[in-house]
Amino acid sequence: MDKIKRNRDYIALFMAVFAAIVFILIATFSYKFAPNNPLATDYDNLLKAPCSQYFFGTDQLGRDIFSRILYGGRTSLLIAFLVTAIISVTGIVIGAVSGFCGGVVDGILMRISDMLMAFPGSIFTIALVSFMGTGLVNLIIAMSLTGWTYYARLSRSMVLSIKNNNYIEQARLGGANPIKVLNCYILPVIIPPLLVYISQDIGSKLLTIAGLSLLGLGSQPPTPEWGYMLSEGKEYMNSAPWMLLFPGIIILINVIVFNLLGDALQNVLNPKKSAI
Amino acid sequence: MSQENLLEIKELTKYFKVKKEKLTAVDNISLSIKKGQCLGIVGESGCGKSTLVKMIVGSLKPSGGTIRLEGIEYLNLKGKEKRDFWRNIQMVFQDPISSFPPRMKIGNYLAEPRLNYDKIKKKDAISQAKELLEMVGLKKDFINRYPHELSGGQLQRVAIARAISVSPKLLICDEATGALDVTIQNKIVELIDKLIHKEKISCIFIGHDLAVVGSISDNVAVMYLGRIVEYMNSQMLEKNPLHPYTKALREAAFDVYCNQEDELKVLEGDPPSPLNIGEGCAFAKRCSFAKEQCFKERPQLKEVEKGHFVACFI
Amino acid sequence: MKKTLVLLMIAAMTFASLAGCGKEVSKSDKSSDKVSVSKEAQDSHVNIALFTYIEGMDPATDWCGWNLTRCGVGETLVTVNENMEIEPLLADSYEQVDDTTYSFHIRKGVKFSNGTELTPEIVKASIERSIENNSRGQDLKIDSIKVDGENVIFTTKEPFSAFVYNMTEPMTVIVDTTADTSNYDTKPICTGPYYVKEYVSEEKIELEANENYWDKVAEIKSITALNIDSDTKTDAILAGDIDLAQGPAATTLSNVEGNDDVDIVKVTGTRENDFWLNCKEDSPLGDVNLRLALSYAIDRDVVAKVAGNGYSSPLTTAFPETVGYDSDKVKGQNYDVDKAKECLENAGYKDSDSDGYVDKNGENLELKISLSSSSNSAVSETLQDMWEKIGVKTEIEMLEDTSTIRKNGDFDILADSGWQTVNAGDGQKYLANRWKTDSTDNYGKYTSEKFEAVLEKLDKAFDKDERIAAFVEAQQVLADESPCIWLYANDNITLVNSKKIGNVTVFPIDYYLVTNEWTLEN
Repeated sequence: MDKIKRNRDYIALFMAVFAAIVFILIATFSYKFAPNNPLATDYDNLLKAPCSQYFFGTDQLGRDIFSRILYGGRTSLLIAFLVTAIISVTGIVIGAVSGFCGGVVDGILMRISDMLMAFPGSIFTIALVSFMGTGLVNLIIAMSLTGWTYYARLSRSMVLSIKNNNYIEQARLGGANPIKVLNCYILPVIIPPLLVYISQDIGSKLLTIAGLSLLGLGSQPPTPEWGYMLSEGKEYMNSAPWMLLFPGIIILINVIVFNLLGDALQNVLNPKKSAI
Repeated sequence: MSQENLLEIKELTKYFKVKKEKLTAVDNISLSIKKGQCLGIVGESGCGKSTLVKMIVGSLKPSGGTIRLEGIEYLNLKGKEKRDFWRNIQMVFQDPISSFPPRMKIGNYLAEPRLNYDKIKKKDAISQAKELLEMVGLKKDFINRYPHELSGGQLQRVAIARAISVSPKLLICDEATGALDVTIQNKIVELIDKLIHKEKISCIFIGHDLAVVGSISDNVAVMYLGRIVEYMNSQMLEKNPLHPYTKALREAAFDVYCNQEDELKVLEGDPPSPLNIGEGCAFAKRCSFAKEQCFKERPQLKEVEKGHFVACFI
Repeated sequence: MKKTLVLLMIAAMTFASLAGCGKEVSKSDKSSDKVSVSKEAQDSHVNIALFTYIEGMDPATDWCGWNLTRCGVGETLVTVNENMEIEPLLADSYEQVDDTTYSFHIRKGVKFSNGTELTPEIVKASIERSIENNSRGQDLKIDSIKVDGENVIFTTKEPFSAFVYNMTEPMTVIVDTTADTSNYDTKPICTGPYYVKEYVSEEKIELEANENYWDKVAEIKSITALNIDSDTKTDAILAGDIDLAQGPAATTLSNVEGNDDVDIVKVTGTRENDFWLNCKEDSPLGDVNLRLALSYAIDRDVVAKVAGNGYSSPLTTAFPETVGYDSDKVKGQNYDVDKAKECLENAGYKDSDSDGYVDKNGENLELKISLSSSSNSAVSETLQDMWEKIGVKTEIEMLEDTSTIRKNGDFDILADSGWQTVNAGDGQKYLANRWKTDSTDNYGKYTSEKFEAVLEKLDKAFDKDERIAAFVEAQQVLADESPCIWLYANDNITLVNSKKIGNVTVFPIDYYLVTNEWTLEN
């Protein structure tokens, strides 16, 4: 019975990874898939409903929404990945060092982390972006500044729980210097469970980016970006609902896929903890 | 001619603060081991032997006293010097599984100490690892296995192999056989015995089974609540234990062929809390031979015959 | 499977809330905050949204007077009615004594909302207070004010044909200077059919009917004016949060068309929409040829379509035709890509490296279009697209707050919300404010002797035909030099929930709104 469940878990993981890769490929090679230039305007076809020429209809400048969604993926997914990569790597390392060293180092690092965590995440990000100015680079910086604390906390607590295991002692007796202990003994143990959080975080960061762009704080026009497309579309909600519908669905699907990916990873790594 | 002491422990003490009260885990212990000798340490759970070992190995800082290996107070070394020193002291833990990093292959695990200390090439380290496996009686292809694929006994063999791979001066076996089946226990003890004599490694063997400890050790120290109550060589342990506690321990060991009609001699009373031992002998409350003096004065270790020390008023 | 369904539901809710997220951004005051009024008056209450929500209620400060006239709180000596004619208000008659002297007779029996009687002395003190404190006070060109019995005598510094029109400007709203004026920022004492009961910054203005009003007392006893973004005014009125909305975004009107309860009342507008250009010498746009090139490159029919969705008309001059200054006689830049390219060349720009963008001295021409992040970027993107076609590269920059770059003139091209062209019932103020050298609202720092000369001519022209000719000349100078790019004129639209409010008059000048004539339906 367990074996069958195990196989199901692997299949689920495979499917989730496959879906994620498909999305990433489509986004990266959007220029091959997009039928139209996402920036090309068509003033005779403003706010046109979906048709054969424009699969998802056009926006207020007559641009092809389908092509804009494909190109938008590049921006959205790329940033989500980048930010997640930055915060997970820095957060995990800082947390591991903090937990492993203890003492003053731990104290300082955790106080810094506490200070940053004291601000409610999204609001702090919004405030930072408003202060630094709009644009994708500032968006990445703002999201990275606040996002690493989550991983630092997680990684630190995991390190604390294994710190006193005998194999860490053995590592020291075996002559490993602290750096080696971190790299070869601690990180390989704590990273696999953290992968679950990481993949779910991608979905969450996608939403944050969309939300910030919705507020006009993320990518600048005319760059297609899903969140910004939503904010453009809300004005035309009655006359051109496809402007809201398709970017919204795409965001939805992407977030779901990455959440499912995290879920599947969780099941495979920790079979006992998986839901029925 | 007595050889130089390899390991010298002088007046070693460790206490912990438990809610404003002082818990003395190790109380003013002095021990020494010569090169090539094996010292056994016996005692019940909570007697402080683990704490003692942790101090020797550098996991815990002593509250008082010194430990010297070949004359060097190694606990005071710093940085790289200190790191390089640890090759001289290796340890085998009680629980085999927790000694192994779960995602590291056996081969890499075995190769680690040589790689770190002697900086040899990875290829050489791996081939040496294979030889080590052979030496402890395991198949060479275990190199590529993961810890969860091996049994407890097999893991302990690997642990032992790793420990001696860097030719340490001192090997500490902390209840190395405690978690294993009885049949395996003997094999492991035999292996350790063989290896330490072959490689001329001094050893501290800790356990709570008198017979096992006695079989491998040259000298045995009996600990009770942080203090050494008796110290003798292993023959004396078998023939002539003097301290009431040691006697009780010996009688508590069942012999399969013993007379089943005999009364079980049970130690009366509860062991005192290590927080509040009081002035007299720590064992006094449970001792069937206790006199008034035992409750008032703390007995010191006295040499009653050559190489046999007892801390008792009897 | 179950888990997937739950995830799908959560994601759907996230999407739904994201779509509604934009609404939450605008500070719409939903539900609970109803004013506590007496039982009878409880039924006699409406909520409205003003054209724009200005911070502050003191006419002596900036444009705050417009809040007062919109809310029916403040009154001027003379006013402009819905037919764009001057009407007496607090002055029941006036005459021009000579070139620079005017006499206004103050109406008797007018009381402020606190019961104080309106006197010529208070009129003098109030207007002097406005002149002294308001940055635009000098626009009135008043040299001195005197009280003579029941009259107030004004003397202008020089002959100023637009003087009487200027006295309708809301900065001249009369306040009770004998009362404590320290909180006039929030609760000024004025003479209108309503007074300010409570003012909450950035949120709402609570108005109550003034029982001391000198004319017919208002039937609707209390009004709340809420701060709502143009984009969300239609949503708000459809949701019932407001019963009247002045100036909803044209692009959202499709939501209301065909609705039985909500009327779209359209009046040909007097506002225009344009983009500022930085005319300073050190800016690339200091060169008139470049400015003309940018103007020729625009297809204004398309821009009007994109911007207004059927409620806008293209504009190439400073005044929309509806204002009546013979704008059709003015020659502006019609859509002509070739002409645009020609002007570019005259300015010295060519695509020498064939990268699709024009350059000069080896550097590509790059301009920045700045706009506020809360406004619709569609027009900016359209302009960007059209300029791309003539090889001019532009970048769009959305800023949280454009007031700093506006004040310092730190921009290339700046989007602005539309300007009221007949401020005070007459176009002189608009021209002087925006394009006279060193005028406070001349963000692009445009300066032209030719234009100054026409302005002077205008000031001296008291005859109607003379004035219109002067306006035509002024428009032509501006069209030839294009310190701004005029794009389109919006209809002046007010949404009225006819089931709740009746007898609403819509004025072409959008700083008039609330009157004492409104009735409560059913």
